[in-house]
Amino acid sequence: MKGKKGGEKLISIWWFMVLIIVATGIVIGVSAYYTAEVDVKAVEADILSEKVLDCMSQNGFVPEGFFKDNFDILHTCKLSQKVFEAGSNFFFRVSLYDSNGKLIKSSQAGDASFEKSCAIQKEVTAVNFPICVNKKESVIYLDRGDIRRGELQIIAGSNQYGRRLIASV
Amino acid sequence: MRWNKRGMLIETVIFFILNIFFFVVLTVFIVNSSSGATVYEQTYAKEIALIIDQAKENTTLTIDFTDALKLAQKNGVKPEEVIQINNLERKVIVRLGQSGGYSFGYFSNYDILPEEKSGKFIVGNSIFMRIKESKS
Repeated sequence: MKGKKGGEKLISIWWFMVLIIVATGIVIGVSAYYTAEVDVKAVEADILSEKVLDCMSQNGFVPEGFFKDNFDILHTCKLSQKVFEAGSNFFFRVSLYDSNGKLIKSSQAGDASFEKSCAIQKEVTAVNFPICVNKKESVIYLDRGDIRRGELQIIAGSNQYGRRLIASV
Repeated sequence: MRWNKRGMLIETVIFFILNIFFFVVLTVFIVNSSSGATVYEQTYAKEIALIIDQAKENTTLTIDFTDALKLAQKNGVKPEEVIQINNLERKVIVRLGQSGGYSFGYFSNYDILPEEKSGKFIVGNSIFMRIKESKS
């Protein structure tokens, strides 16, 4: 090495620095890619809305029980009471409108703040906000013995993230 | 001069060996990361939870789990530890590596039961789940 100029050296502190920078970049990039969350919130919201629509529009008819005060939408739609308790990662609201667009009845479960968050999400892209799905379907319902046409609107949202578990020793 | 030439040769050889070592280590890291359990645990847990939510009650689901079981075996995880269903919390837990696994919830009021005969979720190379409406 004696008599060599600095520029001729192959192994130098700069070479090690380049290796460290490249390695750090690759490690950060690969780790970020493979530990990233697979976002299924939109799919979940869609499944939830379909499930609610399925039980609220039975062959196009709104179940009679929907108009009763003690109507339990979670039980009717086979949804878990525990999952939709306060602080839930899910939300849905079913609203029945008559042919003039007047609200007849509405029922909801889960975290009601999702509705506002989803409205914001439409305007601005926010990472940890819930994702909502909006669906409408024409239905028939009974109003004091009369058959009427109406529209069922369903808003369903999800903000569920999975959890990586730590191994028990 | 002779020493200088020999020194340069040694330096070049060391330089190449270190470079090759560096790229081998990086390649091993990338391959391990891409075929590691963390990615698959999350994917399978979410897929299973979504399948449960889409299913109707009183149905039986059989999902091919061959690739996941191979990975679990490679990582020393027993087949019976690969999938756990927490019917109280409504959660699916998939474990394919030495970490604790990945947990993801479903919202349907279902009890997920294993195969009746063996009492296990893993039967052969598949997941076997009986979906019943929960009484609670």
